[in-house]
Amino acid sequence: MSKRDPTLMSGVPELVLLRLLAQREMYGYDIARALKLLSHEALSLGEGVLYPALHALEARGLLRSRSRQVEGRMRIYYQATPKGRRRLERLAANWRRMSEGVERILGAHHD
Amino acid sequence: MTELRFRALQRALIGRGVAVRHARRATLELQAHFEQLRAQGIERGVAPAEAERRAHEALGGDGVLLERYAGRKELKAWLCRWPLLCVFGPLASFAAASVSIMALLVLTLNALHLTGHHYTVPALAATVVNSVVEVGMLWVLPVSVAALFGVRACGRPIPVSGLISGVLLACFAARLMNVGLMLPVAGHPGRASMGFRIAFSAVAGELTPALITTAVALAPYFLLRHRRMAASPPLG
Repeated sequence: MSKRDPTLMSGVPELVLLRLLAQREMYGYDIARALKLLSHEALSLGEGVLYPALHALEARGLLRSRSRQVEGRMRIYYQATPKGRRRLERLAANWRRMSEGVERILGAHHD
Repeated sequence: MTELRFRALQRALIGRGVAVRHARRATLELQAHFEQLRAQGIERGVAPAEAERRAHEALGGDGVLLERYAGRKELKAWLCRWPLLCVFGPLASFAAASVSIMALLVLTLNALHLTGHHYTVPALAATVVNSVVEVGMLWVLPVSVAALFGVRACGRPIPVSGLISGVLLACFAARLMNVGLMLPVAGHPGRASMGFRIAFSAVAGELTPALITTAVALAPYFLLRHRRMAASPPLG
């Protein structure tokens, strides 16, 4: 992620994290796997970078978390809150509008 | 190596102003993530040392993690988010604690009166209690409040000058204050009352005692700072 253009990528981690966590509750490792798999490795974040993003979204009330003991290990599961879902709708609409604009430019024929 | 990495990372996060609870949780989650990555590598037949190296690589460098955490305002400790708290926090906390303690003392003593326990105390006892209240409110309380701020600020990216100014301000305000607890004594029955005033005329004379209390209040901060600097290994 850090090697990509930050202006193009700004807001993307928030969007994809909210999208994943609006569907189901997940923990960090799980989220990293899902991101790799669903984006066909196009979004391969430095996996540790997920956590500051998750913590910041939680501090803003967009995610909630709970601890669970699984196979003797403590895991922290995250899920989108109603506020997070509303934010996701707005971010997704903005992203679609922007990507459609870029697609039109890429597909346009110039004389 | 792994344990050391995460411990050093936690200290570095706190040192960059990240709140202790976020720093603790970050290292807990990062370590669990690392363990899973390593276990996954070993399951795939990678040698343990190589699996560990790959897990560290996949997690990302400490420098990047530090930047990502330190760059999030919502994850910062209060004193780092609002540095002026260091300057005005000790004074505000001392004022709030003083008012609360005084109110509590007077309400408790007068509650006894209201429930029919009309009491008087010997004059000597009243003087001793008043002295204890004076020492507690004007010496112990400001030093404790200021020392608490110092301990909270230790290891954080907070300008020492701001902290010293804040502690000095609180200690100086305490030196200008006068408090007295008047208990009903034999011959003068009635209710307990508390007096409070600020003597601005005493500014010059109270400067030296204020500096002494400031030094006492800041002692735990400098001791802790010295210990941490001596104990912390470099971030790998």
